Amino acid sequence: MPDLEGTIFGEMTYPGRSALRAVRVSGSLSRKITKKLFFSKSDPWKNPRTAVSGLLRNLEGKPVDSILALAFPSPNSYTGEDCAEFQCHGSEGVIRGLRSSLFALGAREALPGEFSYRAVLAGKMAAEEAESLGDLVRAETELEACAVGISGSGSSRSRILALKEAILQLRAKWEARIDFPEEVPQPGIKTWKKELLPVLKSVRDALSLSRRSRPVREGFRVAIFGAPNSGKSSLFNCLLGRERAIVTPHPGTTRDMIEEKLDIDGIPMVFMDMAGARRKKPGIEKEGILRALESAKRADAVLFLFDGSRGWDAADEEALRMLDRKPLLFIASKKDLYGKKGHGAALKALEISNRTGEGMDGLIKRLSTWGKRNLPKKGFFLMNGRQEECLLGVEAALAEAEKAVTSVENELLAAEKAREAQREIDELLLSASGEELYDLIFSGFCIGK
Amino acid sequence: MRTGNKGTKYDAVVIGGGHAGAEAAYILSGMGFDTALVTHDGDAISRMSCNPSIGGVGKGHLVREIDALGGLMAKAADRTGIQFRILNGSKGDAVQGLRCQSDREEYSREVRRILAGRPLLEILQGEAVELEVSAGRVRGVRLEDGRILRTGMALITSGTFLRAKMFVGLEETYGGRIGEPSSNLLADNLEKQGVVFGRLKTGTPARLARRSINWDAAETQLGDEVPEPFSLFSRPFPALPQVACHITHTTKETAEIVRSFLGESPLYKGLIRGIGPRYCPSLEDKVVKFPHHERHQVFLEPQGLDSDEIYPNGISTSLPRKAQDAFIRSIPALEEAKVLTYGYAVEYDFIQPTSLDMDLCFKGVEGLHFAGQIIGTTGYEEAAGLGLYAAFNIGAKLGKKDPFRLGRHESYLGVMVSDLVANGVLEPYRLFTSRAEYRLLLDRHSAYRRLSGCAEERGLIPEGESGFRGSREKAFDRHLADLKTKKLGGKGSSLYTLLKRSDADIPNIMSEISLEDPFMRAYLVSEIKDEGYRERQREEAEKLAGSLGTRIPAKLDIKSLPGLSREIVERLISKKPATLLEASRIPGVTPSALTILRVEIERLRRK
Repeated sequence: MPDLEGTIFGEMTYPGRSALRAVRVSGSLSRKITKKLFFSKSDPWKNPRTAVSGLLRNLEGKPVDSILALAFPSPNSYTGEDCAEFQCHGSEGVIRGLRSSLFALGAREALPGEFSYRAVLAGKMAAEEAESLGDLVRAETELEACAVGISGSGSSRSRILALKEAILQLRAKWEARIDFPEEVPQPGIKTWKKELLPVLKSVRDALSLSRRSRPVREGFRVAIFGAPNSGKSSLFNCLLGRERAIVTPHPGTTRDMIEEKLDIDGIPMVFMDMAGARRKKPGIEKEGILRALESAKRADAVLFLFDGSRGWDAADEEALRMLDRKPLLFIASKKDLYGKKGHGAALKALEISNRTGEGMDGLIKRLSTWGKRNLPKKGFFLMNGRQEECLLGVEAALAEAEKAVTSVENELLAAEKAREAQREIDELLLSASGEELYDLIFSGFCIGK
Repeated sequence: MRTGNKGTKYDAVVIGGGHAGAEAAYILSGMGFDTALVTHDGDAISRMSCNPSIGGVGKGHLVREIDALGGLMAKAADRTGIQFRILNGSKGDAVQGLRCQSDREEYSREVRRILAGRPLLEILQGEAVELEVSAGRVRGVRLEDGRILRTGMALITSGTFLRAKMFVGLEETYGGRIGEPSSNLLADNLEKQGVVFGRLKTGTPARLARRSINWDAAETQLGDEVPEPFSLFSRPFPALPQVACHITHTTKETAEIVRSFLGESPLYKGLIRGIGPRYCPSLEDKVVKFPHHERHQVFLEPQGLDSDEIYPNGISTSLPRKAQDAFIRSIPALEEAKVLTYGYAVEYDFIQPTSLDMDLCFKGVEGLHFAGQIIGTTGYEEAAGLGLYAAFNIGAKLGKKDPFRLGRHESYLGVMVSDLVANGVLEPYRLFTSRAEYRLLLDRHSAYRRLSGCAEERGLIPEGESGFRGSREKAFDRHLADLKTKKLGGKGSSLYTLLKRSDADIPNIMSEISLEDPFMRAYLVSEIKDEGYRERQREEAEKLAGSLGTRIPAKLDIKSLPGLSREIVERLISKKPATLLEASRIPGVTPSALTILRVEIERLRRK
């Protein structure tokens, strides 16, 4: 958990992407920092929220870039604190210099999500919006950005709110029957079951859609598999070389496995290289293959690679047998070595040459088609890990409620489970329901003794 | 009690002889304190203003808790009940509610009899008009006739009487109950002490003459064959003869009549400012809000064995008399009904419970406590519970002991106090089982196990009963052990294991152990069948108490914390939560705010 004190700064634009780079500062030192580092005829703090042009200086007073500065006096700023923005030209040197000046003046680099965290604490943003915002900043491909945008503001949130409403309606019916037995009609337990099932289904549908949307957030997982020396590493490096890398740390990167997230025609895909095969030490190799099999099993798709110049042989056969799943594509490598005639044709394999790049366009196209086909059609439903945990909790509680109304025949138990479900969804939304349940009960039932 | 030239001195003075006042007076005098109970009418003690009944779903649970804690309501109800029924008999055990119809006069008389048995309690007839307060503490209570009661502890349980106005049609009169005056001077005086009042309203139906009702046209409802008393130690039980109740319903014609008179309804003409409860609405409310309902149930409840009065539950109203005459006659069985007293609405002052601390003491003045309907609840049981709770805390202060607190997982009383003090009320607060997040742990069987200890510590268990209480729990343990060892027909799984199955043949299994007492049987079955779920709720409650049990040090300066909105800061400062758990109950305090508090507490700890 970040300690909440101190002035923080962070870069607002993606490194290497843009001609402009902006650094944002938030905290009590913002004014002093502006005074020391920004030189201009007008003071941005006297003209808040207006871009003021001037010179960026280093600590010795020497100008290093002409920039725009903006001041956002508290409380009308993103974080509620004094904030300053410096929009510089995209030079690495300028930015590096600015950062060290900021350090020297007592600011520290913001942790991931810290600006949003402060915004939430200042009441500027709902906690739930902030999570999605964090994801938005980390969005790496246009597809993901678009989907997360949906998640943050529109359909994902309204889908969750609809689920909450359904659970509340269910609880209102059930609790009214329990607390007002003489005033509210008392249908049999079969009715309780009939009322519960659609709600349970909605939750399961949401979870299923979320699962199918996962590739949008995390990327499809594509394993490159094959017998030793089939050219896996070369293919991997070739992909890396030509396709845009998505460079952020993400879990799963271990010493033995190299993963890279690439943008394949707008679709994020994580390619896994069985680096175990990279180790030339004998004995280690067997372990590596076992590890490779593990991740191949967890992958969304497997590319099976074999040496096109050598042709399909027993080692390839063995590897395919060990894989025990149907690969998305068979790829014959090293086409440059065998020219037109090759053994690739027999397996309808894609023929590529890592060295010349031949066939790579075709590979990308095949991957992109597959990816697009596997994205959920009817919109995405993105939740982060925490939210998904909560929704799984909702499902578990309602599933137990279902057991309560079928085999155990205990309405009270079902009602308790429904309460649990509501708690989980409140947790998901980071909100608390107060009198909402009673609002529904008293507007729906005439209770009057 | 010492009388001097400055007036008589008491340890505590209770103002108002309703259900809250009676419990409080009983408890305080039982704890050994000189107590005065001031009431404007000695005969009106614990008089039931509305329906002549005690208990229900949730309320019934509270009544047994009151018994476990040493209060009087359960025993008074058992001795004067004329019909006993369990509600939700076919639903889970934890939400089954005990309820009884009572003989209204007998109930009041029984409470007076019980109070008469307290040597340290003096009942004074009179009206309290002024509190003597100096240097921020209560010093005494002055009555209308000039008498001064010197005390450091006052408990105001004036119910619906403060500046009360009654409405029948467009007629207004001052009064807290038909035939009883309102208390205005005390209200004015309390305002001078800084108390801010809001207005609430309640309503009551007409009372009908029993002989004028056509009973054959109504549906009969009998009590339970083997009724369960509120107090398991009530003997003999039942004490009074048992009767049947009857049910009828309104018709389309009733609704039309009501609609035609809405122009003369004080409610719909905006003459009544006070907010009424959304449940128990007047007949006018029902007709307006639920126009598609053709029939509204009406329960014809007898006021007593010898009483000629019938209380028609479900048609409370403040419409003019001629409207009442008309719509009553449109109800089957009531075509010839004679109205003895007309229905009316009462609007009265109440104090927001958020201005009280967890002792139910007003935050501006030391020793000034409030309990009962005046702090925004509705119902005799809720009032009684609060009176008892306030008395426990006044007793704690007088005896310089730790304050009395009940967790939400320990009792409905705890749930209610916590809801009231933390959240305040937007409408009269009534207890429902759904308010309790640990409802499974609050079943009626375990009330004694949960709460007897509190009564025992304070010497409040009635004479002869503590032996009973102890042996009941021992018997439970013995029978449970029996069930775990015995097997059906001598072979197979133990009876305990068989009971846990959802298809268990309970009567058959239970007949294997010799157990006459049906309530002990129910206790065992309930505990065994729900064991797993209760254990989970218990664990959850403990986990929450643990993680949020962190104390908030007094030196923590809330204003200095970054990231808290001004609203949250104000609320934290005004409520002074002692732990993170208490803070989490304050509305508007977000998980982030709790995180910030936790971080700050940690930071201070490391310094």
